[in-house]
Amino acid sequence: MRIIKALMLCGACIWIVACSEEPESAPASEISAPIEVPPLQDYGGIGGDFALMDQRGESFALKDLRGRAAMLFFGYTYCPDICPVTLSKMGRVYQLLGEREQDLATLFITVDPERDTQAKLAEYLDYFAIDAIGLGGAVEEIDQVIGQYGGHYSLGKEEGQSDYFVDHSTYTYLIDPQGQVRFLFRQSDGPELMAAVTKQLFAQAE
Amino acid sequence: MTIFYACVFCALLTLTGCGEKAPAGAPIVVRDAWIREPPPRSPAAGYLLIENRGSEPVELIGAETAVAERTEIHIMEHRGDAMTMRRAASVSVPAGEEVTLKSGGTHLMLMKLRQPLKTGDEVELVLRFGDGTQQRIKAPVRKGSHADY
Repeated sequence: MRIIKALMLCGACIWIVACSEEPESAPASEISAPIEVPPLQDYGGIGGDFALMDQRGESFALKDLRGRAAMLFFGYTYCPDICPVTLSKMGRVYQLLGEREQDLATLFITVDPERDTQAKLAEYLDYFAIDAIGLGGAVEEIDQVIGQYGGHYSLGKEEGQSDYFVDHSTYTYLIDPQGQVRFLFRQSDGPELMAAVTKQLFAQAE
Repeated sequence: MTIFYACVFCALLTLTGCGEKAPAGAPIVVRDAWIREPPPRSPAAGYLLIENRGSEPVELIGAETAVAERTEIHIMEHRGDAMTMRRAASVSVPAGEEVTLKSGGTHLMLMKLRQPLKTGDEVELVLRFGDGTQQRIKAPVRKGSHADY
């Protein structure tokens, strides 16, 4: 009788162990390994001031940031994979910056101004828990800015299609308080690296 | 009598199996499916892993769900500094291998959602394979983060 009970108990244990989910290993981005911080750079040929319209319908120029640094990237609100990842990454960057978070603005410039009305930009950016500035304008204005920043995009649009996607360059630009591009992050760069380079920029400015 | 109960107990353990694991011997096993909670008015990206335990290559040739007007297979690729996305007719899984549909790579795209999808929802998807088989799977909706990329 005892043996049978013991066997049942063992069986149950084996079943529980075999059926429990394997513990997920922590994503690399959450492991606080020291990061080698690459130096800031000068990209003389790209960047500069511009004037577009923000999601509240107010005109916005880079110089309006008045001494704040900025992370700038191009995207569009119908973007279901890469843009949410970039915006979620920025949420983490702000956490890592701690009390310096207000010294960094996030600028999201749409490459799809035809669909991205101010209301859509506002609704999209409100969804992400960061205080991003959404910028749009006429197609020619967007073309001018993306050209200035050495980026590009192409609409994958067929005649009359409304649910098209847009291929676009995925760099995130770190812009210093004087309006100069000081670093280009790739899509694969994690928030830890982005925060570390930003802190380096803050330290240099002091 | 006790032995009888023990037998029933063991049989139940065997029958209840391990939750959503595929039946033993099934050549195509789909697991780890999830859907990124889409921002307002956006389509929703779906991710999963397909394991081909068979000796022939298999192809995922389509997917359907009641929550979207259509579901497409999309291939995302880095070309230089840009991300490009194109629609694909199928995803091939070689014999004995597995293919992950993931953020930043090949994935499913649920187009023209018929209802908003929120974290905690569960979406039923029917996956169609080139060998004529279908699999009905459930994919939880969750917010996702940069760490999923």
